[in-house]
Amino acid sequence: MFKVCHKTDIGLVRETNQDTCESGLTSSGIAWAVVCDGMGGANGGNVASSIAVETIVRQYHTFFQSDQSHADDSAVRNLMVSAIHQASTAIFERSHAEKSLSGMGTTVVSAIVSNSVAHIAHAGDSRAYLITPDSAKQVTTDHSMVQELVDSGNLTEQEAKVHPQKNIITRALGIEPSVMVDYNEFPFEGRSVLVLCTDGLSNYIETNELYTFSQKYGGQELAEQLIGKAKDGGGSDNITVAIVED
Amino acid sequence: MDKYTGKRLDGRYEIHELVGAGGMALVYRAYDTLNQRIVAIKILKDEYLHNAEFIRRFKNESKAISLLSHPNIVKVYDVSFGDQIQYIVEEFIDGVTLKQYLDQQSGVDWHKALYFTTEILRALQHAHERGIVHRDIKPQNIMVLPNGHIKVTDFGIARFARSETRTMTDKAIGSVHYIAPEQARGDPTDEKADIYSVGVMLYEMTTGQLPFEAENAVSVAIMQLQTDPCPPRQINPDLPMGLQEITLKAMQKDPLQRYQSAAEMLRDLEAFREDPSIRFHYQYYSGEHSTKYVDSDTTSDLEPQNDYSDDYVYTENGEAKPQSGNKVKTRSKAPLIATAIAVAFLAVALILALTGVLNSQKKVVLENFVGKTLAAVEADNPNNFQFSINYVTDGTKNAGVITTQSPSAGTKVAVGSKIMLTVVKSDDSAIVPEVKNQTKSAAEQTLRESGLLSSFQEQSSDTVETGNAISTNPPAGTSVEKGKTIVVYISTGPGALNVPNVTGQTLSQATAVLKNAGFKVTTVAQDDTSNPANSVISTSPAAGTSAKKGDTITIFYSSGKNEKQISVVVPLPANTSHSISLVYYLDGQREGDTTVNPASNNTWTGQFKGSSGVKELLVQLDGQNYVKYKLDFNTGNWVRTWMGSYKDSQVSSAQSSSNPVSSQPKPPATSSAPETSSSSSSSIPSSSMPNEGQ
Repeated sequence: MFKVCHKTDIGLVRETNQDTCESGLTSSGIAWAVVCDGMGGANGGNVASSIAVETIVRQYHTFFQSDQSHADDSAVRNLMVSAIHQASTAIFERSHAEKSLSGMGTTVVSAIVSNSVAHIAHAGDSRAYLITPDSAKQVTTDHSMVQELVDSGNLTEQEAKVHPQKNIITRALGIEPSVMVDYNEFPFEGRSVLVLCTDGLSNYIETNELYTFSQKYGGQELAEQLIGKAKDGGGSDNITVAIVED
Repeated sequence: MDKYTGKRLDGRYEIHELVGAGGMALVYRAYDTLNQRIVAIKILKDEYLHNAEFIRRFKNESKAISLLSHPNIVKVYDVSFGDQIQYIVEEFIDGVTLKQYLDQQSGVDWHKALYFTTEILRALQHAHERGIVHRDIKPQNIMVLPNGHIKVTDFGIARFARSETRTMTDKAIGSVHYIAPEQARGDPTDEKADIYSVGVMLYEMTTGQLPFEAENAVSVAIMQLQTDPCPPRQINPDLPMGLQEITLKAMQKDPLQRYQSAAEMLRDLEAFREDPSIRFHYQYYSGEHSTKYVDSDTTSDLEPQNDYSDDYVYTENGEAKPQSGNKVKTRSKAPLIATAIAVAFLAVALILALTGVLNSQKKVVLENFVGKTLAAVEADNPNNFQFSINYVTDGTKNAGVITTQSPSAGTKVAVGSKIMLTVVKSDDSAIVPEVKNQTKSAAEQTLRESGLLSSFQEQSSDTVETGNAISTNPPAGTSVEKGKTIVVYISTGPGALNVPNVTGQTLSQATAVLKNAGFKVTTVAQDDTSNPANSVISTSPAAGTSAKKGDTITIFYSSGKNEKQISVVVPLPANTSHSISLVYYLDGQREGDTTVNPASNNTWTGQFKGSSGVKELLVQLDGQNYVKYKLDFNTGNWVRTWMGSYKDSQVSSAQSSSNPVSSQPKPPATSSAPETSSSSSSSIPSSSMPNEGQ
């Protein structure tokens, strides 16, 4: 049986929280979570991430109400990718309808866990980490400028962490008419933990530290500990984390 | 609809109409009722209102920029930061951006490009001299006036915009097409980044296209780091070579290989303008070591090392592409040959002269020696002939009998001249027969027939076919005891030589040895402190390996030193936003000076080279000792040893709201330069800007 929870925190520096997050369990025990980090304008970020979460969650609910136990992998994949596309379109249209929201957008990382498989879709630099009893690893690739520089050999991972424009992302919902979503599946066995988070957390915690925390804490407490760690480090962004445990 | 049009700002500026919108601000045309002139007002978009950090840095930099005053820079008159609204008041430019101009013109001829570039560089020179770096030079930030002159705008401002945006749309990121590689990498940047951007613009103007284009902005950024631009002349063959060279020098990926200042680039442009056929012959070197190209008239060429640091993946650039091994410039052969011929003539002349001297004696008719014994002939030699004997084995005749002679009997010869005789050798001895070019087995047979045994050794030969005999030892014609074993050299084929071992020899010795062995030589210096300078460390191919005559051997020799480059990053005082003069000393000797402005660049990087020793670096700001470092050239490390604090003598006090920001700063108070770290804090109280508030 899965356990799922989430928590978001404004952090220590920002004046608003533009992250939005939701998570839950379907009646047949399938776990889902959506984490979004909004950007743009005074309140555009809020609006964008809210629209994204709302649109995606609505799609999930509709799907799980009708087709509960037959959520095979390709069906889940279609669900997630199309839900995200819908969210992106909704944000895009809204940003053009209202001048004050022009240019708003959001990242997304979402997971649906069922039948020992974690289905993960994302666009942007919000991340998913998969933790097993022996290890923790990041299972999404950041869609960011520094990641591309690292991949092309121009920057090391260490340099990427201190690059002045490390927060610049190359994919986001709502910025352009279409968006490319990455989708992946990973085995999710007993005692595994899946952590979804925004860069407000991942900027302050290394993967091995995440592992250590996950061995000591679980559930809501783990979420709070992780947020605390980010704040100890400076907390200069909104911090959001969603956790799915077996 | 638009919330500012028709309003009055600060009781002074009447907003007339919206004329544009940038990433960060809305731009209006307005009327300054106080100074009675049209101005441009850039009002920061709302989303920036609430970011305190942004506001603070923006304020500082705006102060610095408002001090710039140059015909090619858009003048900032006033800056205002309030709770509700933040805006910049600038000179209103009635014109188009360079981007619009270029789009309309669809390219310019290079004379115009030269002209625009010159004005842009003058603007940059003015700003750089005051420690301000633009960081976002691109055609969108250059205004073209109706009179044809240009003005640069948006100094430094876009830098802040970049830190607030997140998505990679071209609008938001500013255009990556012009940013310098070090900017893409996130490294600290200085005025050389502006030079790069100017280079890209010059490229674009003279070719009509950008050097790097790709589907998305990040790919362009990566190209800035990795890809060499296609030489402009390949796109525009009419472009003079000199202008291409200038463009490519400004676009060097390594900032240290670019023009180091706007002034430097201006000088080249000026030289080019005076003579468009000028060639600069710039050469660029890759890797970390500074290499030297030695003129071909010295004995060897130094090849640069292909040694890339981990950080850069750039490719080599420029005309001189280093290769290993094959490129050896030899001195022209003609003079050598002429000399050789002259020597030969001299030798021959000398010989002729000498023999002439000898031959001036009387001549006799040569008698017949054939049939006589050598012993008898030698015993009775009244004409003092010199006999050269050639022994043969001839079972039919008695030993010691002369069988032939040369010259023949009856020839007139001079007294004492050389006579060749063929003499029959005694039976106990054998003459080593000639076996050259015989197969191994045939040679063995031949030797056996002469009563000799053979043993074989291999040797390379350019003339004798593989497997055939080259020569013998003792050589053919030698008289030896019968039954002796003669060494026959069998050819292994052309010219395989062994590389002599020259390790440890001096470079000149080793070069001579190798050349004498028939090899060509090229040399490479290696940083090495364990071996004496100029001594050979190794060769490639290595000693003892087989090589062909005429092959090039590379000698690796020790340079005796290991030059290191130390870059010291000096943090500049925060909260200062005017130009500061920076002077630096190495072990008490003044090394250089520059002007910095912390609002534009909060660090200064000094680069120092050395191969050994420890030196002290002292940095002074406005004449005050500021910080000291120890630079260790033995290890390449540096450490800060002392830090004072900077007393800012140009604290601007709050002025009445009618005074614009651009008043001149007060002259600095005389400051005593403390040697020890000072007591009270010297941070400037955050000054309130004039015109603050609504």
